[in-house]
Amino acid sequence: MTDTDHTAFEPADDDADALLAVRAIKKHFPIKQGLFIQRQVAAVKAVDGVSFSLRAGETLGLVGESGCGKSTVGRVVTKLVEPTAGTIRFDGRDVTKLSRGNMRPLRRDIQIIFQDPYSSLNPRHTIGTIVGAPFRIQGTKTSKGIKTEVQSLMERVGLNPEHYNRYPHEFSGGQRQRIGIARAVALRPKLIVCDEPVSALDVSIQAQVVNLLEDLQAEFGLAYIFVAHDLSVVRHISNRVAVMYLGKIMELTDRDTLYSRPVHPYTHSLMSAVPVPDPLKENRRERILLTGDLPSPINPPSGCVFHTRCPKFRMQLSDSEKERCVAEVPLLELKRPGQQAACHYPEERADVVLAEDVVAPAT
Amino acid sequence: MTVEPRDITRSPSGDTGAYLSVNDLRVHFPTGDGIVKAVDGLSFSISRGQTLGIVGESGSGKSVTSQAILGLHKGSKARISGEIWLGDQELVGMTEEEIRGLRGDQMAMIFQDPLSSLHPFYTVGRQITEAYRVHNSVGKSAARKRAVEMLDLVGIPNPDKRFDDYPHQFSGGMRQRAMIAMALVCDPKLLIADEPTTALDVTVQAQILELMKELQREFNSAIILITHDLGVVAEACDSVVVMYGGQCVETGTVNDIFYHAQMPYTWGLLGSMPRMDRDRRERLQPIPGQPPSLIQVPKGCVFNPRCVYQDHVPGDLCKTDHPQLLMTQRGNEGGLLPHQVRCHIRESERERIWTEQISPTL
Ligand SMILES: Nc1ncnc2c1ncn2[C@@H]1O[C@H](COP(=O)(O)OP(=O)(O)O)[C@@H](O)[C@H]1O
Ligand SMILES: Nc1ncnc2c1ncn2[C@@H]1O[C@H](COP(=O)(O)OP(=O)(O)O)[C@@H](O)[C@H]1O
Ligand code: SF4
Ligand SMILES: [Mg+2]
Ligand SMILES: [Mg+2]
Repeated sequence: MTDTDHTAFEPADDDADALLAVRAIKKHFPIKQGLFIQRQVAAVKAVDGVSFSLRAGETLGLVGESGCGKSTVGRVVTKLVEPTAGTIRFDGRDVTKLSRGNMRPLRRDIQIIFQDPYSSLNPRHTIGTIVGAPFRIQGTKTSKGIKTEVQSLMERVGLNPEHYNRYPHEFSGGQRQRIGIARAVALRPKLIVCDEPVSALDVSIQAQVVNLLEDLQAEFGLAYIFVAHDLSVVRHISNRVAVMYLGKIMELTDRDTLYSRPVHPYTHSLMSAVPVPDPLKENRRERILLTGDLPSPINPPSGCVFHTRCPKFRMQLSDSEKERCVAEVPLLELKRPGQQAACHYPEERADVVLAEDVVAPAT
Repeated sequence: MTVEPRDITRSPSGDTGAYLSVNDLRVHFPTGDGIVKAVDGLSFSISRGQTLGIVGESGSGKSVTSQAILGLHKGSKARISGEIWLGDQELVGMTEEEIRGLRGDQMAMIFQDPLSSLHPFYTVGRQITEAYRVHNSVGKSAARKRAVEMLDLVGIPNPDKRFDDYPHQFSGGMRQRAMIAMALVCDPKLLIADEPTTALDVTVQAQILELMKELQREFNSAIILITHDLGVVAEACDSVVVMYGGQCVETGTVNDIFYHAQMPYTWGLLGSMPRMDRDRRERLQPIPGQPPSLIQVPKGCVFNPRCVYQDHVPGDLCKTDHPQLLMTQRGNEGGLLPHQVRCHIRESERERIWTEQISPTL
């Protein structure tokens, strides 16, 4: 397969002291066909040129509709899958092509938590075994030492240490998520990829888990990549936020800027779709409804991948302006200090902003 | 919106404006571990053209309530008592056969997972056509015409072509639309939507909620919208039932619930959610603890094991006495679903807590 599209992403927030720096990563899953000889006939472009960096102790939120590649970014960063292209630097080292043997320290430093803790917890293992596993794999502690450590971890994440010998099914959804968190923080990692960790939980339990993640971050200096489709939760927990669409980042900036003056038409649509718990505000709001379905990542649209559904493209642009959206891939680049967007015609829209605090005037 | 004040404990006599009235509904499941009191004394009413939201955590009895209305517990071990009036027909006492005649015709349901009501082996068009012909004696071509119309109405492009597609050929949002088309093909007067958008992206959710509003305007149906998202309630509903542990703990109009909430569980729900429309708070305020077991429902107030406001009640009333669902001052002003609260705290004190402690911190 030839790869002719532009990958010249401007490393706009290149940060010398970043904990994690991801540059132009791609993950294309091959689609193979053929009876005897399997030939690659196409590829799912799950991640198609994504760049961002993350500092120690910071939280980067990753939002976007399902299928836009959020989990794949998380799995590439944790090295659960190999990127097709691009580089990953962690703690000053290029870890893109680490051999198995050299992975062990990285496995300790980067952890992952999943949406459904149940499917990621072995049902036949006790909590003690599950949370203690990282210690045994790293081989750094005696079994008595492991038990003490695990019980103090259980206490730390709000589980009863006496439940050391219980099995995952004996816990509620929220408690199982706590088990997943205990396992992830066991080895004091520097980065945890949280892949929709609260999406399946009821709000009252979700708030407990969000608070726990924040406390652990403060205590251990953890950095998080927080994947979620809920924009309110992402606003609450993130320092910076990347908005993804069809394998690419559309907008990347700090939390307050994103939620008070977003410039990408896709961010506008996403924000305007979130219902808020205030009936009077809801009555007054106009939604920017997206039309049509998400295009296939096997054969994404030319130019700007969002152009087939972009409300601005459809309603505001002239034909000659539209040509540019169809023909030319917009790079993710600085539109204002600290604010990157991948759009040829970025624009602030006050009508989609919901936060009452601030709207700083545009610079 | 003009609705007459009414006594909701009385069964409807037809002139109250209520199309559906649920009175003291109880659904108990005998199991090996004991009796699951999934729904325990629930009452509410809804008139045509109105949307009622039922909110509550998972396991609070929302789906069991909707299944009871549709008669889906008939022939199971469930013990059901109370009354469900649909117009002038009482549903709890009906036979399975009688209620099947209403289902799909006078009342219909849409689910979170469209694949649970769309069969994978038949084309979408055929399934809608059959749903129509069960209740309407028309020929094949008339039914097809009607199905294509419905697909068009719910916003499926090229409905004539998509008619012959199988469910798996539709995207998630399109399947949800197809299921809505099937549910509405007989013009039901009552539509029950059980978490219809929970599995969808917000962008698609916005489309589906908009579609439901349009269709409601067109068909003047009564809608029960079950959800755990208070944002969805604020957007789409006129009135709300807040459920906790199989009981209604607070009910009223959306204005009552969002601007004058009086029950600690409702406060807890509102305080737990991060909000995009307010200043960002440093901390969320979760409800401590876990939802109750429905086999050993807590004595006293169902919410007492998690409630942090019990010191506003004399003695340990919260742990010993089950509070009644009582009308508030606002509720006395009337309405189809007047503001009612199940809590031992004195009303003036609840209002004070809301105004001084809860509302300013949301
Ligand atoms: N192992 C895989 N093989 C083929 N396609 C995949 C694989 N994993 C993910 N995909 C596809 O990649 C795209 C992005 O998926 P994912 O990263 O899971 O998105 P998100 O987490 O944003 O919902 C989707 O189209 C998905 O179907
Ligand atoms: N057929 C059944 N037999 C026994 N228990 C049931 C049955 N159906 C539901 N329940 C229980 O009833 C309670 C309420 O369930 P449900 O109405 O589905 O909750 P939700 O509010 O999440 O929709 C739950 O504890 C559930 O386990
Ligand atoms: S580049 Fe064009 S199509 Fe893409 S988001 Fe901007 S205006 Fe819309
Ligand atoms: Mg995912
Ligand atoms: Mg349910």
